[in-house]
Amino acid sequence: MTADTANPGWSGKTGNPVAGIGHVTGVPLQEGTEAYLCGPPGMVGAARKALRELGLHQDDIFNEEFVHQTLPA
Amino acid sequence: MMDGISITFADGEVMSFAPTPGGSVLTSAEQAGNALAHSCREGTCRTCVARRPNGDEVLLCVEPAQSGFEAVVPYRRADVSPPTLRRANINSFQKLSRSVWEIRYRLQFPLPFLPGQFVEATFPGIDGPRRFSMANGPAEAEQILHVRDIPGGAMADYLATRAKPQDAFTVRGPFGIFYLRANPKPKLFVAGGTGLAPIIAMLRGIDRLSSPPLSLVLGFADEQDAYGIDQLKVLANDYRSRS
Ligand SMILES: Cc1cc2nc3c(=O)[nH]c(=O)nc-3n(C[C@H](O)[C@H](O)[C@H](O)COP(=O)(O)OP(=O)(O)OC[C@H]3O[C@@H](n4cnc5c(N)ncnc54)[C@H](O)[C@@H]3O)c2cc1C
Ligand code: FES
Repeated sequence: MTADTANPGWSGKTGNPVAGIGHVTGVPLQEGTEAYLCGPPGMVGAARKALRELGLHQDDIFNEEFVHQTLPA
Repeated sequence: MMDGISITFADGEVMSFAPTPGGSVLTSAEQAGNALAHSCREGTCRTCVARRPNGDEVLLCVEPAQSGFEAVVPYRRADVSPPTLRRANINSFQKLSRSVWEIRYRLQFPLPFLPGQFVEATFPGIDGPRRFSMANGPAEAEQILHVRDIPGGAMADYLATRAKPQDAFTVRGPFGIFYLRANPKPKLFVAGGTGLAPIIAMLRGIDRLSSPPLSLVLGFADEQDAYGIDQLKVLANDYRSRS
């Protein structure tokens, strides 16, 4: 689902957020826009790739991958 | 220091130090009394990511220290605070959807963080710390975590069978370079599942900034996993009425 500050409302679809990027209208999908990506590593990687192809600058894309790791006690 | 290691921060500040024989870039910086962002120190969490002049990404915690090494990190030096340990007590906890728990808690002493950062939390009877991102704004007294319910996971077991309000636990932090950058650039947020937690913290922390246009794309595996929508609607209305 997608929500924009310009055009609020929820499309209410479930699924991969990467597919939802194409429906965004609230921010320009081009260089000059920042992106913050967070979730499972596969989703984050796919979103980063899609946004790079749209022209976002590599230094304007920030991400956190929720990986599993056993930390020492 | 031509033959040392040189790290450039996002605002152009340069830090130079000598390589420690047999050490990583991260440990060399620390030996010289310098802080760089890190968490796992073993190449999994990507908190220590940096970019070489040729464009390659490297993880400074596992990158062997060598003279002449140069890289750029995506944060400012002032945005790295040394992690500290805090005692915490659960206020309340509940299921927000089929697969998401919310834990609300209070800290014995405040733990400043940048919206988007995470802590290493150690709950009673669990073998070791787990990483969770704060979902509250940095100025709020009550802290909030969104914890994915992983069947067979230690957190799911704790929350479903043993947890009680007032339970004591510890958090160590803040960690992370995934925090809101204070600038007027339009911002797109993309979250999957509990990946929403740090993004809610950012949305709650954004009012001090210059009201950039924002969009959010959110995905869940299934409708029954979805959570946070009502809160996001309130945040969006708030934001629109201010900007
Ligand atoms: C920087 C960072 C921030 C994070 N923030 C959050 C957050 O805000 N909310 C949140 O829910 N999670 C977050 N995570 C992920 C979380 O730290 C791990 O999923 C953690 O292991 C969960 O602990 P557990 O006790 O539920 O499961 P565990 O008992 O640790 O794991 C049980 C089993 O489940 C599997 N598993 C665990 N986690 C994952 C995963 N993420 N992906 C795939 N398989 C897994 C493993 O195979 C493991 O053996 C974050 C991770 C990182 C690196
Ligand atoms: S990858 Fe975790 S600190 Fe380097």
